[in-house]
Amino acid sequence: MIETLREILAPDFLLHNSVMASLVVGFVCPLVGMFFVLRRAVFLGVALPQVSSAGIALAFWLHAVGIHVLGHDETERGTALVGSAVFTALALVALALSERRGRGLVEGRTGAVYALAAALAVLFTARNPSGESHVTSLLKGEIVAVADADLRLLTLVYAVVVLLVVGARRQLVLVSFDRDMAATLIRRPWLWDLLLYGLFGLTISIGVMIVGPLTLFGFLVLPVLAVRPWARGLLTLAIGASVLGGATALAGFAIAYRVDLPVGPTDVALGFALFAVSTAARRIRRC
Amino acid sequence: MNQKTQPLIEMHGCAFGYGGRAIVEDVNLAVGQGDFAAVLGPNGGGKTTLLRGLLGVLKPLRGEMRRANADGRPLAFGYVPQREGLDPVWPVSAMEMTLMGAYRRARWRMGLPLPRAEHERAVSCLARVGAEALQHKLFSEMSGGQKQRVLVARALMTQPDVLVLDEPASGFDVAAQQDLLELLRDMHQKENLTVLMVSHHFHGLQSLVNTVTWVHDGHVESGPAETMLAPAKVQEVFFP
Repeated sequence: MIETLREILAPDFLLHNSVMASLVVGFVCPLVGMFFVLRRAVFLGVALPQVSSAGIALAFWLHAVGIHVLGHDETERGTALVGSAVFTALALVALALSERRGRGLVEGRTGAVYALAAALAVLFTARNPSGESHVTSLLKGEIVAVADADLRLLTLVYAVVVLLVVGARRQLVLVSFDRDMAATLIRRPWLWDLLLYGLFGLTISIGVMIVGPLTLFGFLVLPVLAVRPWARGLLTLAIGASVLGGATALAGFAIAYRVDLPVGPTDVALGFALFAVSTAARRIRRC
Repeated sequence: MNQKTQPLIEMHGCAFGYGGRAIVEDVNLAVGQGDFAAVLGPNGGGKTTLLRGLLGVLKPLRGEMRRANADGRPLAFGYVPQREGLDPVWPVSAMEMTLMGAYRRARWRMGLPLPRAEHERAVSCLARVGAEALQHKLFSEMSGGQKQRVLVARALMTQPDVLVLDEPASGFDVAAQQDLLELLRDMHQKENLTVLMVSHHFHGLQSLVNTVTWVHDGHVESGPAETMLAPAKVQEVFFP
């Protein structure tokens, strides 16, 4: 295993970009996912990547039939990014507005959005004349084929996300944990909610395009769930989940490379195994 | 109310509610510097709505409200919410919880750690409520009484003009209730802290509070404690 790790971490490794992309997603996603878990909005964390996928599928379809929203020299990746970002932003605005009106069940609305997004992704893909398998593989997130430009974009955007989460962590925690207290300490607490939702959208719209909805959701939630029972404070949860996410990404890549498995599902399966071990160990310790 | 100074909080004919619909109406009350005020009434009568209006979470639908120091500065509220309202899924230590009270002062320290002085102040606030030893304990693992003390420490950390407590003794046995009321009495008397407490319990408050506001069925009545806690008045509120 050590030999495999040494091989995949070497700068001249053929899939070096993919390893780096996995590590970036592994380290950063738990920092954002922490807010999904602690605000009990995990279902939103499932639905938004699916919405982003539907946006990507629509963008690919428009590109394939010759409708170029970014002009004639647009790239397939550029179109996908716009589709992903626009769909995610629209879903966030729709869900936020319906939550503000306070009618019906939040889970019900999120579930309906998830179902619609999943259906639209399939329908747009089915109508794509450039071939269903090609688009499907792109939607899965080709972690084994990350271009230099994609890695640069991912690193840049996720660096901004980390800076904003670290910079505004006190306000984000306060509006998420104790809204009434936040209203007495912070002017316009809804602005910090807006920032948090913006960070959700940014993380998901870029992440889905590079690693796909399944892997992204796994990294948003599983490291946080695995570390939470052991965390002795919010700082230890954030650092622990981020380190575990990075370690899972690296180990998952090494396992997938060694036994020839798809990287994303291997990462998620490993993340779940760590979560299960963590939960069991915590229960044993309490007995 | 303490008549020597201008009230910190004044409401004249205020109404508060949700979606344009008033839950409490015609609120006239005044809380002065150094007062210990109680907002009392049966559950579901509108106490929490009034409290949210008082804190500025809800804007008045009607009427006038003034919340300011004698020098005109906006009031700093030290808010102690109902402890059951804080989700135990958050792994927040007592120290982290107390430091939240410093977030307004730290609003321009984006990304930077809080200064050492704030950590020292947090330890001192925890010590004031007898919870110094709980610093590293998780809030979710504490007893009801310990949680309440840590929430009071967080409120004190804001360096408040008014300490506002929402049902602080709810769910406590008699001994724990007395323990908490003694802590509040001590802070009120020694530090001349202005305290406003919302509660549906009124036993044991006679010797503690100087003004009482009854909230029942959306109606609000304020007055001195000795009048408002008289048996006839209590009878009128609970058995109209």
